[in-house]
Amino acid sequence: MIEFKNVCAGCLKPLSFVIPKGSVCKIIASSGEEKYDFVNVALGMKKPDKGTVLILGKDIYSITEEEYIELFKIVGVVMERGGMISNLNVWENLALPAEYHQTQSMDRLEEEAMEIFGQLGYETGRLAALMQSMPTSVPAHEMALLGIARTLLLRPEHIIYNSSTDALSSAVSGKITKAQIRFHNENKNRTSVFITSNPAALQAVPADKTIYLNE
Amino acid sequence: MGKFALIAAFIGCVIITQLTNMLGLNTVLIGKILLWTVIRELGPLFAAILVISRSCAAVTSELAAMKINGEIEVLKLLGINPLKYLVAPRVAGIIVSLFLLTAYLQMAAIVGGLLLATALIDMSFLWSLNTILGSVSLSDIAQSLIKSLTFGTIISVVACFHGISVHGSITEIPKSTIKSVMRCLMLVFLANGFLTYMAYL
Repeated sequence: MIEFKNVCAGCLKPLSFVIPKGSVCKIIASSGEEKYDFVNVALGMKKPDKGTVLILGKDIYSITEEEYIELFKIVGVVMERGGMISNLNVWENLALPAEYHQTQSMDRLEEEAMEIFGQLGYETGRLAALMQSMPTSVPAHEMALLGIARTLLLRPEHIIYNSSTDALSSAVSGKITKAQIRFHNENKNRTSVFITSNPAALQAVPADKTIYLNE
Repeated sequence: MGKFALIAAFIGCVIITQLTNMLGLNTVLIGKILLWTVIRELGPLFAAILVISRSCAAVTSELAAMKINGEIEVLKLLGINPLKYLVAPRVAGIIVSLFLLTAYLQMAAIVGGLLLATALIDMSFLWSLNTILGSVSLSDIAQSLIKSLTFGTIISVVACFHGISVHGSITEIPKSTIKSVMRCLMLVFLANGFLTYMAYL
């Protein structure tokens, strides 16, 4: 699903690896800086000094912006701090991609959101207030949860989690890992990539492959 | 909107009062001059200045803040084209609202101006209004329409461009907003001069 061919960028050591489709892969950075450089290079935001980055066989630095956007309809990305849009409330943020791509009706979306929040351990009473809040008033750990919920609602074919559970307690992190693995197992071709600079946060993730960026 | 109508009415009143001082109570001529100034020139220009001061600054600063916070990148990673999701509705909204605001201000300047003028000078409101509206030609309306559509396009495109092309830190947001407002003002006055010149070629 993701392939790095002799990639050199910023503080990253030269990287070459392949993450096969349908696998669960952990990518461990030795520092926040290394992870930051890796994520930016992998998601097409910072062109590497050398080498090629392929996602689903496409060189993300030679495709058009339209193709890039189309690619990320298939590959969902969970941003580190949730990646919420600041002028939309929480529910509008959660519904935004599904509503924009018209993947499902609003009623179905609400049902699925309730199901996902149930898996993440949210009480129904608390959810109503949270959904109406603006992202600036939501604590950082909840933003991370909302980011995961938004991407899961999109039901992407492949998913990249960028430090999605780093800011969470081990109890909450455990529930999320279960939900992430359940989501992965729904589709045998689905690839799940977990990126972190805190290996302890991914201890419970049963990975088929682990890549250490400093090796 | 009420405040805008009041400002437009005062502008209409000032024009009528000045013209009455110069030309006496020649309602036909006053009506024609009022039409030329309000429909062809002041209406679209005044509406454009109001939209620049209110919406252009707001659009640029909002988009610039989204860009600095990385929200535009987030939209791309959600498979959403920022040009379609953020820019296109703003461009369409500004063009339509500028066109409607122009028509509203023109009516407010003519009707309100005449109302105020009839209270101050010896002038029949209904007769003057009939005379003025009777002299509106298709070319007056076309000129006003072309100007408001051109100004709307200039303002929306410049505002969005300066918003999404900002780079660096949060201190770039006010700089970009000021640049956007000044560029809009300059381009709108330039376009106004050019369109007026073209109309009389």
